[in-house]
Amino acid sequence: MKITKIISLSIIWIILGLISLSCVKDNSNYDYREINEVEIEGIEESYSAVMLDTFKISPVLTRSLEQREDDLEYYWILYNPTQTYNFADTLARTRNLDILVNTIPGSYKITYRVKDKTTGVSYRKEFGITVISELQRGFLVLSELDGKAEVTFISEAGKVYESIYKNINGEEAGTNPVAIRYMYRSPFDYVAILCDDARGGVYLSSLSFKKMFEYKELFYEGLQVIKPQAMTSTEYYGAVSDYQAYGTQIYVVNNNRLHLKDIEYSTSVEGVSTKIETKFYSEFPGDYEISTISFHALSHEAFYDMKYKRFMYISNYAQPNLYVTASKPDGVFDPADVGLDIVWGKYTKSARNKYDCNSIFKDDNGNYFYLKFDMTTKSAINPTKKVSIPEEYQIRNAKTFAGNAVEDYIYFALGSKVYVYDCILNQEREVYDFGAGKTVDNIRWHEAVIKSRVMHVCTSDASGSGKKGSVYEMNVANDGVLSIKNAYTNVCGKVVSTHWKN
Amino acid sequence: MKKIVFILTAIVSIVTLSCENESSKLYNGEPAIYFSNLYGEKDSVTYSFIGKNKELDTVFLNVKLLGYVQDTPKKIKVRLIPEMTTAVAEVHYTSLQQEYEFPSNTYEYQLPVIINKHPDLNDNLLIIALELIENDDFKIAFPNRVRARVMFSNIIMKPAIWDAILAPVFGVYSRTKHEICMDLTGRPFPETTQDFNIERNVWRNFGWLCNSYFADNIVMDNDLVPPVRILPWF
Repeated sequence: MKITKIISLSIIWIILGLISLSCVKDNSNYDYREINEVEIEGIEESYSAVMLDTFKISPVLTRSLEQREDDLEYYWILYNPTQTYNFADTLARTRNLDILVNTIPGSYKITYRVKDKTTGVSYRKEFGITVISELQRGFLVLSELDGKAEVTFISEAGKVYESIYKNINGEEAGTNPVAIRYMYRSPFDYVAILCDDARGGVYLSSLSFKKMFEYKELFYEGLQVIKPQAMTSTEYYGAVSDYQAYGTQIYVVNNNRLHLKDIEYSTSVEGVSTKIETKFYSEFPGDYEISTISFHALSHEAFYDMKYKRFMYISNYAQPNLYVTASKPDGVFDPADVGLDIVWGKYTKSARNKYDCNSIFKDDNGNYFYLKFDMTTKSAINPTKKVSIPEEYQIRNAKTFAGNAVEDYIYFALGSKVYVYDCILNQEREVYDFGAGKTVDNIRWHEAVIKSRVMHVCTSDASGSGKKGSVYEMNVANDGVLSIKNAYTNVCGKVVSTHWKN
Repeated sequence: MKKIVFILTAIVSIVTLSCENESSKLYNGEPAIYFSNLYGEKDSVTYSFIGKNKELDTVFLNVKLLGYVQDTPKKIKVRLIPEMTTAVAEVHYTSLQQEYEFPSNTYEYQLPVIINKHPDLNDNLLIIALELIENDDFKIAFPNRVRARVMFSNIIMKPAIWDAILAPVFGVYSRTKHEICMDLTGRPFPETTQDFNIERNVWRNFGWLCNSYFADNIVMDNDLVPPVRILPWF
């Protein structure tokens, strides 16, 4: 027999064998019938929507067998395409979409899903949506008006939203306002309003300003004393966005005790990767009274213990240990035994991979000092400068300060005037005077675009009643001199705290 | 050679033609059930009364439907497996019903097994073994997913995840520490990594609080001879 014949017969037998094996009789008891399919039309490929505005879509649904809709159910599901589909938000379960947009501004995908309840079969149509908002970026102002907390928001475009908390939530945020802070860590995005009252304050959705939690609800264990004093987060001055208030680690000082809220995390819940929001841990144990003034940069933070007048730090965010930084008795000051009361301080202009901080301290005899230190190694803070501030300097009486990461200046205000203190030359000078009758209550460097050299200055007018607080957006010349860029007058009460919201 | 090519082409054509593309159709098979969370060797759920402060509790076994949801409630038939059961009915648990009702318009049902906190559980791990039985309403979907064992006790047992997951939060295991931490937290330790991860920072906060307790109080571990103080681990 020829070899080709053998091969050909072999191949034929193998293939015939496979065919016969593949034809196994189906003994199952299934039978089949046609289904009434759904065709979705009338939805564009993409839309644009404005936050806090209405958004409507009325799709056209066509059935293949019988035109009916009583057997259908509907889902409008929003996804963030830059993340996974796990973070879905069901916008509506109605045939047509008719909602008030409260989604965080950005680009999203929406899936319109129509489910046939009889068969369980679903039909989908996906489209894009871009949500924009005037409430996204801007300046947060917390002021005291008739003893109550008053929240004002000035959008990046310059639109002023007075009494925004009260108007949206229909209630007061609290009394004796202490601080307002923006905390960002996608997808969780808050504004915290702290008040020195029984309630302690509230957390708002950053973009809708709707209340999300009470102050005390964001702690794992109940607080014995509700006395919020300060909230801080990791700060970062980067290349893409000049300033970011990272929410990786957030700290609150309550009754001079320190609490940490660690970074959120993802875990698998029934096979689905799910982000888990975190809350504030119980206070760090130990014998200390933490100051409301602390120093923050990316992964570098230093705290000041007012009781023993020393710097402290956290080594491991998962452990309840607040350590004293290493002693340096031969330094210009000893970070483990500074022996002074802290007045103000902030992370400032630093060389690459260095974390320099400027600060003002005073002793029991009324002497004031400028201290500079490097917290590159937070377990061993390096003191680099200690200068006595002359008795006649106004900075000794200042109540509000501002610093930045581009220059070694400390801005401060007293009465109607704004001054600048040159940390290198140990000199101060007046840079602006709002005139008699005005008091500067708060100053803050415009951190969103730090190189734009803009400062927000908040003033109040003692005359009359009502909203006598004003916010000035001021250009800062290279020599520190201020000039008004934009003025928002009589938009709030006496300002106690401000923050930029990205 | 041409013959081979011809024959192969013919066979491939026949095979291709026989694979007709079927349009979308509706499944219409008979409904069947199975234990959705149990299969093969993983045929048991465990339960401890420790830290629960309950005299009886209900363990739910998840039964899933294969097929379409039912328009009306249907019956599930269940049988006790005596040779695999060590618990005594009406002493350690409430006798199983012969039938349970699977609700309409759903694919899942939580089959309840009611267990009692009995003194026998202080020394023993007891077992209730049961299986789903085919009846007029439901077939059996998968033969290897019809049996379930409920294993329950009132004994402190070191959680299987302690060394890998809980030790960084609660330190070295000790039975005394286990009891005190449960008193302080008011809840039993998680038994799976997933249970821990879902509340990871809650457990970390408990770990901080328990650590403070052992820092502030001298507690001896009496399981050791001689007893040794349980030291804070942070």
